[in-house]
Amino acid sequence: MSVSAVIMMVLSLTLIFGGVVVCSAFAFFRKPTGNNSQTKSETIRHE
Amino acid sequence: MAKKEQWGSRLGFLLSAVGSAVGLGNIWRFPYQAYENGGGAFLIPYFIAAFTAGIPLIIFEFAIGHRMRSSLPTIFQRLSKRRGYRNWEWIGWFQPLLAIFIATFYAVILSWVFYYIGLSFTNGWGTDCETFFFNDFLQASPSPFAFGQINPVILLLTALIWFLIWIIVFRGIRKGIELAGKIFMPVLAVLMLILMFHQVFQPGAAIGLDALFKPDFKRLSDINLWIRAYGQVFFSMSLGVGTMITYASYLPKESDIVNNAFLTGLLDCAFSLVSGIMIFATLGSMALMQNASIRDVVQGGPSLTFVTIPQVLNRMPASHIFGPLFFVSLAIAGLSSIISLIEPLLSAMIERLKISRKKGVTVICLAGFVFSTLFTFRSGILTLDIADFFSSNFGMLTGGLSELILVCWILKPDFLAEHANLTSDFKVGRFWKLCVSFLTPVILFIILAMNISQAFAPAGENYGGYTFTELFVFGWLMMGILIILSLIIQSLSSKRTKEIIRHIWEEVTPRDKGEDQ
Repeated sequence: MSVSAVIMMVLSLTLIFGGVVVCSAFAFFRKPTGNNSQTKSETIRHE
Repeated sequence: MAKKEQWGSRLGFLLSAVGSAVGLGNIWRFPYQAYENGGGAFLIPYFIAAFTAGIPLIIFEFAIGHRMRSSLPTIFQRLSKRRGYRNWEWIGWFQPLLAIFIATFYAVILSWVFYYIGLSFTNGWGTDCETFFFNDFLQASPSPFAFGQINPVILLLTALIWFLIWIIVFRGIRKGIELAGKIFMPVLAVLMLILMFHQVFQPGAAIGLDALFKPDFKRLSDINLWIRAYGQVFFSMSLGVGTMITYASYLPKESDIVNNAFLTGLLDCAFSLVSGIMIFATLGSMALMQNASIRDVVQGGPSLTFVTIPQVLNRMPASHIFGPLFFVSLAIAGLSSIISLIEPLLSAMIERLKISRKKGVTVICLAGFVFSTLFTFRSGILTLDIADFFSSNFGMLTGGLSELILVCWILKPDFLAEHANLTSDFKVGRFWKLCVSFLTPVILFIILAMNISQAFAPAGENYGGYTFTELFVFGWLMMGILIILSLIIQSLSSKRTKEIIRHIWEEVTPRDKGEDQ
């Protein structure tokens, strides 16, 4: 396997799975109240 | 009014949304597209497309569904009336009808996969896999109009698939679709990873991986490469058919829109990458076994799945383990996508016709099965090929473009950004608005224009080498019927039409004598 192919494969996997890990971490540590957003979104919804 | 159903958990929603996005296209379309378009160089526009069109569009569709919390026709009716514009409710009917149309032929492809699961335990396709698939199993006719007879095996398996869909969707959002997602997606991920790790350690796998990932940077200046990358992302993420909007309408009020969209898009890309590695490692080992070049063995679409993979399995040790694993993975990927295609129309029927989920899903599955029989004839693979080309390249693009034009050009997307930001950890801003208001609509329009020119190309140069009549009947006509049907339903549901119908009804029905006096 050529070096350029290995680099592309590693970069692609790192980008995608790294993104999944970061987003999952944010989702995992998110406050259950959701930034106290229920009240705000309700306000918009009933405009 | 009955309380709207909701997802039981964030994980359940995510896995169901990923299940909708991940389908047969990730396994048989992405690897072939990547190889044909510059290998590793294709991945650069592919990832750029994912971050500038795919994920922004998922945020867009999630935000619409979460903000409006209704079925698609009501959403588009309310959106178009926000500022007193013409009624665009037809988009809300076109997308669900298109989704059901796609489900009808998707069910038939899944029936082939189910049949191959049974065969894979004993390599029952024999030594000549191509002849077995096209002649013995499908008994394919030479023309889409040479219908021939119904294939009873495919018909029975198609009925089984519609029955499975019925069972899952019948049970509702939490106990049906969410539970299916929670089972299907982890199982699919494990199966794909087992297959990938097994294949990359086979002799010759490096040949395949080199072909898939070695970048040909000269190709980056080719505009068609970029267009194909954007097309691949758009079709892969189940956009433009209303499934993401409908799924998001069942989210609890405080849900994180942006992060959910990122996870859905990234996991879809991850499944594509893992599939690509698994498929090309397999093709590399096949090229080594046959002492051929990788170009001689590479195929995409059904030929890859039902001809090339069985050929590889014939020569692979422990094929009776890895064959079933591969076809079960395909079946799970397909089934999780097809159940999501039912929900947009079902939610519209529940809301507009005031019928129960159970009645609605029964009607849809029965009608879907009846329509699926069209693709179980001997000409099925050809009619299905045309229907697939038109529903993706015209139907989904029309659905996606229409919603973008309505929301981003007529209404401006600021209200969606504001809504998404209220409930999300990551905020969207100018870049997102630029992507959904300008970049994506322009690229989708270019793809649509290119597809139209291809469909009207002279005989022999048009899609698949079909005649114009064949493309017209199974492609243009089908799409035309869906659009006209959507407009008819929209007009039937308008107040003015209802008044006219009531007036006509009163004129033609005999009046009570007492009323005349």
